Amino acid sequence: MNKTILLAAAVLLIGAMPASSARISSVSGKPEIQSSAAAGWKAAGKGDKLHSNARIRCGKSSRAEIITDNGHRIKVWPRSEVALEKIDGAETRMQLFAGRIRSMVKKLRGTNKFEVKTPVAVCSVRGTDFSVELDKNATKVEVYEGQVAAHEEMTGSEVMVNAGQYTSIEANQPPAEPKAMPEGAGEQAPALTPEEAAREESKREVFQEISKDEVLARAADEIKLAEFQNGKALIDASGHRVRLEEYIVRSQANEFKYVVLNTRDEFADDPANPGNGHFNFGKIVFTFNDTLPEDLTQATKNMFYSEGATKPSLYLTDVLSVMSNTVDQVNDVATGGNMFPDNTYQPKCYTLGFGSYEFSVNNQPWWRYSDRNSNGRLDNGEITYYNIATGNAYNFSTDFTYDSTLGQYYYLDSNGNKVYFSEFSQPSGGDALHFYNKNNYSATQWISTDDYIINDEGKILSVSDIQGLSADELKVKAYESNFERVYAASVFEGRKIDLVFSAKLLIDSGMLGLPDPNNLGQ
Amino acid sequence: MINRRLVLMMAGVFVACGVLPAGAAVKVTPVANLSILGGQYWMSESVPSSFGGNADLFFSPVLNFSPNIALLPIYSGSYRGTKSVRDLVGGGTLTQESQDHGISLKLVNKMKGNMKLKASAGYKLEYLKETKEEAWGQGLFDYTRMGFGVELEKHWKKTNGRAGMDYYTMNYPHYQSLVTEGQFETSMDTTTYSEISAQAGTNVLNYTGMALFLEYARQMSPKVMGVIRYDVSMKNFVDQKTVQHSGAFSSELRRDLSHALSMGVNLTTPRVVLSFSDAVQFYDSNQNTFDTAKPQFIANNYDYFQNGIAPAITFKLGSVDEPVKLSLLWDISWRMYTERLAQDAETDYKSDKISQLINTMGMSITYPLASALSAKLALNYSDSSSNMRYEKNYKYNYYTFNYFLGINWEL
Repeated sequence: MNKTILLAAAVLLIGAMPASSARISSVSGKPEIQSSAAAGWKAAGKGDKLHSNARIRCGKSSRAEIITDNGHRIKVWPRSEVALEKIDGAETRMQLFAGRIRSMVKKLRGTNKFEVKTPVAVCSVRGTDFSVELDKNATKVEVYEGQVAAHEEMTGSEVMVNAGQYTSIEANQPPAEPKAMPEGAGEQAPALTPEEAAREESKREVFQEISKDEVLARAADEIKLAEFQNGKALIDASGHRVRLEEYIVRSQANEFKYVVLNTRDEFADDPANPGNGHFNFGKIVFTFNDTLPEDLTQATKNMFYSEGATKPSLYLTDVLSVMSNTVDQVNDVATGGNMFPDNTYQPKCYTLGFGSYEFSVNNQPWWRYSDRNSNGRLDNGEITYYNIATGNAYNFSTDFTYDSTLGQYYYLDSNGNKVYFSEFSQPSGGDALHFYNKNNYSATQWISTDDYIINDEGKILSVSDIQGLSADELKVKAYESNFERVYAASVFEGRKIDLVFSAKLLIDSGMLGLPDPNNLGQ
Repeated sequence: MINRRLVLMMAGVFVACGVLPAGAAVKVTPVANLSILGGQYWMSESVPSSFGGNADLFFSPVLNFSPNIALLPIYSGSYRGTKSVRDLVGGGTLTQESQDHGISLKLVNKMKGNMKLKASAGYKLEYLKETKEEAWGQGLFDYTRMGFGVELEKHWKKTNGRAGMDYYTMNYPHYQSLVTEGQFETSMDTTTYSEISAQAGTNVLNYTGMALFLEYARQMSPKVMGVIRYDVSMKNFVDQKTVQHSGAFSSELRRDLSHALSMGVNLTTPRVVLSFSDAVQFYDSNQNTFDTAKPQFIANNYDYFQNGIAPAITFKLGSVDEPVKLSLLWDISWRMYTERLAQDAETDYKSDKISQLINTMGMSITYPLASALSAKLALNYSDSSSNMRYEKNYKYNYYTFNYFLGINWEL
């Protein structure tokens, strides 16, 4: 800016309170003040007093606001420097050396003045809100309230700038004809520098984009929520994530299948190493005595137990169950099902009983049950255990020894130690609902199960979680939990069948027995 | 393949908005925000989670080719080591950690009449770790999203209007229907496999989406701003078949449609910012479910109606330019599934439909430490109550609390 421009702004003058000083009302960043030309610069702080000839400057990220004793407010923008040449009751005069200031002037009285000078201009103001900005060779004046006379000093030309208008003035040229400020700018006096305004606009665009992203992310969360609500993802007792899918298939008019699939990504999907733990599945086929209705609940609600004097018209005749790791499998096959009354002459309820039952491992029968007296109950002598090496039935009187103290059969291993036919323990401690069962037919024929009651996060429930519950309450707790069964067997060559399921159906069917809370922890 | 599609999509953005001025002087305005917070959360009757950290970052070197044309390359990313009470607590407890990263390009072209035409394209990926041993990038619900959108914004003296459309694809690379996995096919009996695999679909979570919105904001007075917005979004699942009454799959694909109307008003004074909003949403899906455990068929299982109101107030204390901000918020939303039946604790279905009331309250204090740097403490509480009592798969009744403490830096 090589030449001097004079800006003069005039509005009604009513009067002014005497003022002898100003103070810094707020700071942002690190503005500096100089109390006089001879003094050095020092950091400005809120409340610092300013007298005539004081200077204030703001760097790139600094701002300051000054309030004079008679209430004028002057905002000093970043990259600006201004001197308070004169502050007294009658006159406030400032010199702007760089940047931009915004002045909100209280109404003045009498001959009181409020002036802003630049290296090329002077503004005389009464009761208005305006800003003056030095930008290279031009001075820009924007008026937000009141009226300003913009005076170019060298040519003596002057224009009146009304509220909502702006003009720009270049040296030795008359001020430009005032124009209306862009929509929205007139009433919203710029609190920001053009740079800051550009940054804010950029931020707004970025925020809009991020906000949109969040909306779409919420949509993705809804999908995940639905999967959790359907119980398709959980953690097993070993801490592995299990994906679970369950299907109902109605393949025959009188039959439906329940299929549960498990995968664990911690174990590789390796076709060359089947049975490694990645895949496990279960399938149960329910066959009824008659055609099933569209609504399956009409058939399943009474299929194991039915109260009343009348035998239910629909009941199970056959159940076939398979659990497999894709290599090994455990099968349960029940046939000849019928509903048996509790009392033949005055029945009050009916319970399902099967005529025969076979438990087999890898397609070899390990034990069979046959309801020889057709009473629907298990009686002595109706179960037969098989030696898988010979295919013959075990004779417990000759193949095992009876321990009358424990009421258990056992055999002696190669070291002469007793190996009981049935083992039971709680490996995770007496408080944890982790039950281990093992049947030892011989040193080379055994099968074990680890049954866990866990929640979706893989935590094994404890006795304290269920102790004291009634049978109904226990059932509720069980329905809120997952069941994990791990089969190990002498014929699995180290592999396991590890299946997690949420099947209430299986609990109700009696295929999974619930522990008696009263006997837990003893 | 993805990268090539992304590049093509972004090139389309530029074509849609006009050619960038060749050889123009580019002014770069960096915009960034980094937030690092640590904290813990509690959920009903559980021990607090271990101390975890959350971090959010976005960065954009805004390229201003002229006063009217700007290009915004945006990176945004986050890491979640602990949960917000607004996270999907009921079923989200499985998630241990998550991180997401997104890049997008947005072109803003200011036109005559205070109008802006904007076009954007972006790619995002999110990783979830659900077990401690799980590696990043192997999460079941990991997803990638790719999309593009256009928007028109018009500013009047006291009002502002926006309208936009986005199209995107969601891809869950690790979530395929289990029945399609090879070893089940070879190990299960052929009849059963063919029965359950028939029309089951493979990439059952993948979908394409389209979202449209209209927004109108009005400066009702110098201190009061009102905003009304309507959103409609569609999801077309590419491989998820709808479930029939018999429990079998039909040949029809799942389609979801959501309508949302929100209204808000903000009062801004130098010392107080007060806001109030009400959002109504109706979600409509043609998908049904079949509860294999009962078994029970539920038509339009995902349909729901939701209404949420959220008053909030922020006090600016101390310095006008660098105030200490004390914010209080309350958000109460009620969701009613229009078809999904509630169950009792024994899994028996009731005649009532599921309804859920979620109440969230929060308080935060932001304390300026230095230029653009502030410390933040946030305390949040949320509770949910529902007539759904069967909670094996998902918690409908719970309360949760968390706190976060950390810093925020803004450029």
